[in-house]
Amino acid sequence: MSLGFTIVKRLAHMVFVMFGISVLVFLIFFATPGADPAARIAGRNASPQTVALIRKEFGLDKPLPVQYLRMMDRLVIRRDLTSYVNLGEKVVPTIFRAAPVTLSLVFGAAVIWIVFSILVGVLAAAFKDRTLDRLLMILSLIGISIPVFWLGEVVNLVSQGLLHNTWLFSWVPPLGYVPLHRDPALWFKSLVLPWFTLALAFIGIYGRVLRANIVEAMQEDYIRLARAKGLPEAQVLIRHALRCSMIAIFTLFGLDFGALVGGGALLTEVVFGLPGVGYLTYQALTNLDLPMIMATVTYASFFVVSANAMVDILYSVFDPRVRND
Amino acid sequence: MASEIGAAISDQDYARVLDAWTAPELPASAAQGYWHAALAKVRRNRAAMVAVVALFLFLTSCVMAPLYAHLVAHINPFKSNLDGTVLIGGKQVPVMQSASNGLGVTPVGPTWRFGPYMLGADGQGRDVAARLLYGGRVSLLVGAASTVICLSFAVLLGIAAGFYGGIINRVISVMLDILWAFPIYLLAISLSIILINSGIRIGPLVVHSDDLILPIAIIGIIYVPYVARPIRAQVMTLRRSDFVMASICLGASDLRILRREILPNVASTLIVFTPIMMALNIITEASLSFLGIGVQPPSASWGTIIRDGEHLLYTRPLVSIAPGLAIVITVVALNILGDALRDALDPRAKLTLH
Amino acid sequence: MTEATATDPAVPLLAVDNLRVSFRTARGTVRAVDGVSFRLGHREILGIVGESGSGKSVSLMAMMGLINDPNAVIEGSIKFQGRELIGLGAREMRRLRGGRIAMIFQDPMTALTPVYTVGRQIVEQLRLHTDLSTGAARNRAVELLEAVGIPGPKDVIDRYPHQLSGGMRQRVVIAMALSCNPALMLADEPTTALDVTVQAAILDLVRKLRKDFGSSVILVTHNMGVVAEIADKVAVMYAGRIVEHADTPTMFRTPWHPYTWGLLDSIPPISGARPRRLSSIQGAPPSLQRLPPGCSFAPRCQYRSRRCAVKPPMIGEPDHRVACVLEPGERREIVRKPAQQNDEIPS
Repeated sequence: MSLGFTIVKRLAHMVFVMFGISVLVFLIFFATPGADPAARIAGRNASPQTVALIRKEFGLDKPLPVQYLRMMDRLVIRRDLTSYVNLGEKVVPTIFRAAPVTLSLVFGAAVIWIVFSILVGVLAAAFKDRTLDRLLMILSLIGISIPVFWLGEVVNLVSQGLLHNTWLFSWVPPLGYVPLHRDPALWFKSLVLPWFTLALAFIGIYGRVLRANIVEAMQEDYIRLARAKGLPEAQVLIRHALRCSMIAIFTLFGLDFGALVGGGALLTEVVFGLPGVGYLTYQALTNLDLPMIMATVTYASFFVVSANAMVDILYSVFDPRVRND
Repeated sequence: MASEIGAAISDQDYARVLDAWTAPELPASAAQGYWHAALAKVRRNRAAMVAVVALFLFLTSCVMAPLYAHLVAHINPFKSNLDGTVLIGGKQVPVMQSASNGLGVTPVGPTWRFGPYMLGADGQGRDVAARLLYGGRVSLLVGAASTVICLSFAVLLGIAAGFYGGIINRVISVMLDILWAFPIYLLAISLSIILINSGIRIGPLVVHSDDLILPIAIIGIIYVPYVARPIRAQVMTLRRSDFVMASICLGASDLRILRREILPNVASTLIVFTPIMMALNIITEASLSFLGIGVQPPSASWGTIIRDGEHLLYTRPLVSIAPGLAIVITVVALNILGDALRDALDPRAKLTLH
Repeated sequence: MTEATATDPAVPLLAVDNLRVSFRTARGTVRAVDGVSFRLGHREILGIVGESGSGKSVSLMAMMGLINDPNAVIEGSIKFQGRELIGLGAREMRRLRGGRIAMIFQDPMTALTPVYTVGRQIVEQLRLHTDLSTGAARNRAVELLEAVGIPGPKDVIDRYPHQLSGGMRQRVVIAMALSCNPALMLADEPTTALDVTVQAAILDLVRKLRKDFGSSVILVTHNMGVVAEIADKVAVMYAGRIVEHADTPTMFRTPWHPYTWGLLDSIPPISGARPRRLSSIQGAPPSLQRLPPGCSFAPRCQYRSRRCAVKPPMIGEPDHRVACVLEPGERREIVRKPAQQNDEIPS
């Protein structure tokens, strides 16, 4: 199968899944039995006129496929869906304005979790079954088991409250976000703790996966050959075992990165008051601003789906075993 | 000479040696059953045993929450108690104390004594320790029930897709693909905002918006693809395996193959998934409840208690810290158990001795 | 040891004395290698034959210093060019490994790191043991690939392992082993995983390399046919011990150990008619965790007697040694008898 055909096939699958997701979103918001969708969209204490207006605007008296097409038209093509809670606010541009915050958060966290998980995975594998390995694995397990929003609260408690007036955390700015172009230093300071908070669970997951992969790779024949060549153990571990284990990690990374940008970072954004896409969704949630939620959910899902497709395509381009076979 | 050495052996000794030579080789471990061996392996795992004990202790203390509320805390943990007092150091102290700057009130802190307000009060003047136990009941219940839902769906879909293949497989795979690509929290938020704000009414069936079944169902559904996909892959591999082919050639019915060959294998996967999924579901429940779209009042869970304590974070941190610690300990224990089960049941983890 | 002794032709290239390797396990100690001794001269090819689990591969790994299981205990002596390898520092051992002593493994399909080109893997070894520049090392790698008979080496050098056939990969592994002109090459079942036609080509290659590169070779296999074709001397291993050791013609003409008889019977004759029928040895090799008392082969041996209740010592002549208590007369008697039987069976 040629590379081009693989890519086209994967992209077709991507479009199909996007379609499926948009239908699912539509069904959840417009076809769930219970209350009137127009009333839901209007938000709390809406006047009957507003509800009637919405019913007309979304074509809620028309059959479901028409309603679906109308919604997708306003969401994706015309992008003029407006919020009824924050009157007249265009939803889609708001999301795009919030995206840089989410990207700043996820990018920084990703750098941290990749670096630290490689460190954890390699050290644990190198000291397999010894104290350091056990310690790192227990810490990783705990890292995976801590709910990120609670960790964020603990971090806030310590850095903003208990130890804020000591040398350790006096540099921490108040909660919130400062754009990179306005003050790079402050941008960095305000994101350091959120980065680590978000990264912790992933360091645990990736560290454990990497350790398992390296340990498995160390049983392979090519490792024996690398040792038979006279390579020092550290080079055997890093150049051969780690290198071969990284492929699985990068696939995982692509998926997780996409999922975080597409909503997974929501809890971290809420706890640290970072006005990203997730925070926007949360606000919409508390205000019952359905158009906003529909938009964030649709766009974030599309982002995740295309990120997954990108990962698969890159994988088939970069893994020498998949290529040219 | 060698022959002379051999001649020096007594008849009795030689008989024993002959026995050793002719005794059939016993297979080293196959004599023990697979499940038996796995159980023994988990039992030998000290960390796993500590985890089991910890989970058992948590479970029993949460089950006994009413006892604690009546006998120790002497309080209804679901009723606000803004005007009450509590005996500390021989003095009656108001549960809600005016702040020193005169602005607002602060709930009483932990007494650290086995009695009322051992861990202090929350913003409504309710006993945090008692609420913690009641919250644990809900958290564990939601975690366990959603795990049951998730695994049941996953097994049905995974086996149907993997075993029957063809169009059934196609349809199920597409559904799983879509659900899988949907970001977990956004899916949960979409479902929650619709369901929890208005409940559902399907004909005569009415589910109220504060019914626990809603978070249970939502959490149960969102992770189905995570379990169904590996099960489908496993069933497909089994379906094509030599021993299933042999059974088919011998004329075994589908049902028989499912029962004899497929299910026992899937069962071990399910056992490994159970604690891991429960851990994940407990965290998810807490996260959704923290966002206000999980467990709804009057029920409380560890997640809602953390949310309740959020505005007290800097004055009475324990209100949020304590339920978080409970979650971490429970989830760590479940994950340790999951690791132990995987080590014991996963055939790939078995060591091959040279 | 001084350099003078290392090059002294009187000192054998490799002298292994009473090598023992055991592993501590939860169920007690497993003795994988139990007192193996042999000498290997310059430019000599020694074949070590035995079933899997007979300790032949573990012996090789011990010579490479590649047993890094913390539960392994290695005793005895392995002298390479007069220098003791057991207890040698990790750094010194590493310098020998891949340099003076090289190794080839059984399965070429998995022996090469999948994410690097073959050229890069050969260059890696050259750079490790020589002070060639990357460019020079690359040229040398092309030469090596050519020397092991790979067509179009300039092209192959930039291929990934999965793009080459099994035979080609084994040639790459051999090229890599030869890259630093090793004095000793250890080959662990180098042909087992390959097609019969490729097997012959690889054996030809090993023979040619002995001539061109002057390396001594220890070739471990379970296949007597391979040994007959290539080895100067043969050692037969069973349950961690060498049970018979002779030069190849002697071993095939007058085998002494009942186990060797079994091994020879289980291969089809290479040339001419063999008087005995093809047979296999009854039973399976013993578990190393619970070795039988006395002679380890006794449980499977048709000719066992009360003398076998004691572990048999190595006896015989300097050039042909055996661990079996059968007297020369008895052996001749047994070897003749099945031949007579065979006359009655139509072939």
